[in-house]
Amino acid sequence: MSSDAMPDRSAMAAELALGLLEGAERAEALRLMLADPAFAAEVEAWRARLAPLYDGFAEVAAPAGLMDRIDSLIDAEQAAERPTSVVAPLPAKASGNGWKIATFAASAVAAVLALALVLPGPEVQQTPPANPDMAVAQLTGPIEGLLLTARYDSRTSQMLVRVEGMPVTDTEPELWIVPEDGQPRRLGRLMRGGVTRIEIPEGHRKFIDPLSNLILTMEPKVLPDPDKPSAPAVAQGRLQRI
Amino acid sequence: MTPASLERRADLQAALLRVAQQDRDALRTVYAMTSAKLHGVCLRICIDRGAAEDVLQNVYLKVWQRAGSFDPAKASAIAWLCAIARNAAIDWRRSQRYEDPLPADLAETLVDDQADPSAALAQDSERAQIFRCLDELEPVRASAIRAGFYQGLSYPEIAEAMDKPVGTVKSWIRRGLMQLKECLSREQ
Repeated sequence: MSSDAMPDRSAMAAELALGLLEGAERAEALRLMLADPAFAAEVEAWRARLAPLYDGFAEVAAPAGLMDRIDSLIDAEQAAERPTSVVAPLPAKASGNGWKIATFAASAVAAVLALALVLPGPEVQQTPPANPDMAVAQLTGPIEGLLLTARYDSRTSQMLVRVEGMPVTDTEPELWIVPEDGQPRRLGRLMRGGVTRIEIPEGHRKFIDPLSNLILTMEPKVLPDPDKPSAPAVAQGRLQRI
Repeated sequence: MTPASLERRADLQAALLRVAQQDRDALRTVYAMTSAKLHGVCLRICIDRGAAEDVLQNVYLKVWQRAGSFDPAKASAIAWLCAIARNAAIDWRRSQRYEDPLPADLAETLVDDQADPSAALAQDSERAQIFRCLDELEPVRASAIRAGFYQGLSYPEIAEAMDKPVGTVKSWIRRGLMQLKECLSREQ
């Protein structure tokens, strides 16, 4: 290697931050981000270094009416998520944007299916109390594509956690709750894909509130210390009551 | 930074933190403050107007869903938002590539960079550093790095646009990035 070339890992961190990697190289870099906190820190440092370059993108007025469309998409998704009726209201049909609505309808269906997976069975189809004691969180982080959706139901004291986009690693995904005091409490190990059902220990149930964050760390197969994470969070999200 | 831009920055951060609490009005505020910028990001990378519009729409849906993971200690609000837009636009580009060949004038756009904000940024020396450092690089290295950042091109695409082997472009970019890192740490 010549003296002015970067070591491969540093190069890979910079290339990932710049968005140059594809396919197997990108997968390898994403795997490293989960497995190696030093590498993840290097990627973050590159992202911070490159961030002022965003000033170089020219502003171009967004198409008129786009915010209203975004609003109605969120309305429709929320209507689909809310377990207040057996049949979720369909998004209103809009004229002129037929194919866009169709695209959205597909994603709304996907959202409903995702929720169907994390919702308990038919018993919720009776009219729930006005303020059902449920909390949800979406966890994301610096690893593109990694998305966790968590849903807690106080009636069953169970949290259902769906994992998508987890790269292959030697480490295992571990979920923690971090209440207001900042101390992580372990909730349990997750499956790398699909939905994991976690029984929330009685002592931890009081932490399920909107001041708490859920975080994901990647831990060795044998947890070094079950009372605290040994690796930095790779995804996080705040709990919200619904 | 001027007091006005500092204030704007603080307002945007506050609004984004309210979006994390599922505040719909705050999302409208974030949109009003940033949609032209993020549209610019999507358009530059997607090139196609219709695609940029669709990507932009999804970007704000992601912002709504993911605002809880915004951490002001790690990134400014605008950098966090721009990163979501840029990644979404790059994902779209790469999903299209095989049906949609590179535009013929790409090589020209590489040479004639439409973005030269260094003058506009003169008042903000810390943020302008990276532009000064890019100017110090050999022009081909700087062009290749700009093509990756601003157009979301991959190594093979940059190589094609610059009519050079992928290995050459890779070495330009890697060396350029290392020089960039050295220059930034020297100036700090």
